[in-house]
Amino acid sequence: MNISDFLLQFFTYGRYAAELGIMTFVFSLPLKRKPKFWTYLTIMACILGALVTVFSIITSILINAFGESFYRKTTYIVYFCLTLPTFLLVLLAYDEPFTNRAFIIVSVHVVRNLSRVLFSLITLGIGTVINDPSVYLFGFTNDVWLLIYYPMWGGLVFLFYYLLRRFTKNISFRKFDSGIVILLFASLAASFALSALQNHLNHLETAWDCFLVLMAHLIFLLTLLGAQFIVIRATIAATEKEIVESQIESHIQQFDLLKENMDLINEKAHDLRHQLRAAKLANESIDEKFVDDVEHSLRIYDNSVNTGNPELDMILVDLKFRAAPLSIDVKIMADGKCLGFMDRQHVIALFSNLVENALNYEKRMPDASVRYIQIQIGLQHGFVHIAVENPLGPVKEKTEDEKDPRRHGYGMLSMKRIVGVYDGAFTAKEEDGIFKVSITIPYFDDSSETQSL
Amino acid sequence: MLKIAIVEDNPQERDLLQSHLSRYQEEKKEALEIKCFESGFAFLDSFKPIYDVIFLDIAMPGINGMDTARQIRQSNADVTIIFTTSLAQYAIEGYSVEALDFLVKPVEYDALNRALNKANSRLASRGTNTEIVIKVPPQGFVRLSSRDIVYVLAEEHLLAYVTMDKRYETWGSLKNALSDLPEKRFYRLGRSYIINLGCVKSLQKGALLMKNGDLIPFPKAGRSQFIQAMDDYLSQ
Repeated sequence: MNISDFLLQFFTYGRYAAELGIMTFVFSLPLKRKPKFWTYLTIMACILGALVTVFSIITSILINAFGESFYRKTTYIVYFCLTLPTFLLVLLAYDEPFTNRAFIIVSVHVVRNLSRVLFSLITLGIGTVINDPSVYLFGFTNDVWLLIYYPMWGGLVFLFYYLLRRFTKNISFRKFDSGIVILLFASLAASFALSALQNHLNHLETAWDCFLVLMAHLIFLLTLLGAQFIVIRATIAATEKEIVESQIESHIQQFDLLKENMDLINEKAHDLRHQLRAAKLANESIDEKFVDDVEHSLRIYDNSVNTGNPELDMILVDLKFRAAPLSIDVKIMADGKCLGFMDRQHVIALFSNLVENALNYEKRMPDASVRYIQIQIGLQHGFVHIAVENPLGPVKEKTEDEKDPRRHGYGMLSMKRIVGVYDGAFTAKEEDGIFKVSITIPYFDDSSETQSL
Repeated sequence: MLKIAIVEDNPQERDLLQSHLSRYQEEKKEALEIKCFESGFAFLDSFKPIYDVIFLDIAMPGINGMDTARQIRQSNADVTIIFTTSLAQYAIEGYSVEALDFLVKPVEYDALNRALNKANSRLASRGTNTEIVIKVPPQGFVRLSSRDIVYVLAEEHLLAYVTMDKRYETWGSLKNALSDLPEKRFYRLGRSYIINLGCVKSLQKGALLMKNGDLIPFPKAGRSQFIQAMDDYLSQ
């Protein structure tokens, strides 16, 4: 075995393995890892290192024995074997649906092939200019070319990762359509076939032939990449819709339960008040003030909120009831009648969300004296305007939802979608230490004069 | 200087409010001019649209605060009204008269502080009463208050400034006209209109009904931007 051949092969295979390993690790960052992730990573890295060494030895021996052409025919087997540890790592070390993991595997190879094709176009151009066909297709003969290739490769990896995070909005993937991923794998296989064709082109072929093959490969890969992002966007949209709908459903169920409880409690309280009055009539020695005090305490869900919208009234009464023991001052100025055009479910989901967010934040404020929630709802200038504000401050600890990036933010999304149904505008901002939510919706009137936009 | 009116029948509550306002004046280094009235009738009898903020008690003998507010709104749409009340449920109706806030009695300083800060912020962002001067042949120059302008219409090279009952024509471009008007209050609608968001009365099919009764065409393109602009205006 020739040491220099071994080192050359080791360097070649090692670069390939390192590229795959780095891309796999980086692109898998959004995925949820299993507890034994680092163990798997270490094992796969060792296997990869061992495979690189073994194949380098075998290849250097075979080149000496059978020549360059044999090497070119068998090198794909080596590259395939070197790919397996990264495949296995993604399949074993992440707690994600299979299709998500398969998506990452496809992405790694697409980006790698893309970097090779782009680099080949550069070398083709240079080879044409200097009239050296040997450098047409990735034919670098010294390490100088690495100074061009790796910055370009690094740039592509970064760009893909940036687009991936931007399109997935920093939340982990959801389940993809298996059919789409099978299609992507089939396309990737076709890309490998094109790579094989590219590598088997005789270096004495004309620059134009090389250019055509490269352009075909490049267009194919860009289409594949574009298809992947379309898949991501469609899946995220479907997932968001699913989560938002389930949130709305959950709010409706909670509301119905709340109504049931309120009615039950009020009914019992009503009965008790009657019994108390009857007892007073039967026994005049019972103190009137005592009776009044007990009656007052039995008015658990009183009629202190009457906005004209029964669903809103119930949510706001419950808010006041829950806010009182937490020393949260609740101020309400609301004309609920202007919400009459909205679907009952949307009213419930929207205001439950608004109230819950404000309540959850305020109860964690350490200084109880500054806690308040202000709610204003009314018709102004032909628009229904909803304004909710609560002060911000150093809160104690995050809720489970805020800690989990997969679940945080869906409350806002749900509200924005509901507002969007009515062509409204939704703004949430922090101003002078106060968190303000502002919603403006074109007003739909039942009268014939004023109609929707 | 902020001009404030206190309409409150209870002398102790009046004194308390004045005391809080004096404290606010000292802490914020802001000049306040305060005038007190013992009833809604007393206030309405001498009412002039000079106040920036009115603290209005809801429960008063004679005309109550809510009815007083309705009367105020008929002639002065812009003044900031802050209700004071011992019965929180009445404040729910406050939105019908576009009240900024309500304070539960006995009024605490922190609550008044927050309410006045909001009032100041609204005054600053919606634009104080900017005056513009336009050349209107043959009269010469006309001074217009920005609050009185319902909309501005561009017809070829003519600009028409339309108020509740008059129309002033001059030469110019909408772009230059918009730059003279308070930013968050006026909105460029399409190629021909600048509208005063505070003068929109209601939405009709394909048009905006303005307070002076004029209908302004409202194209489908750009609706979401208009609604966002209205949201920015209302949330101030």
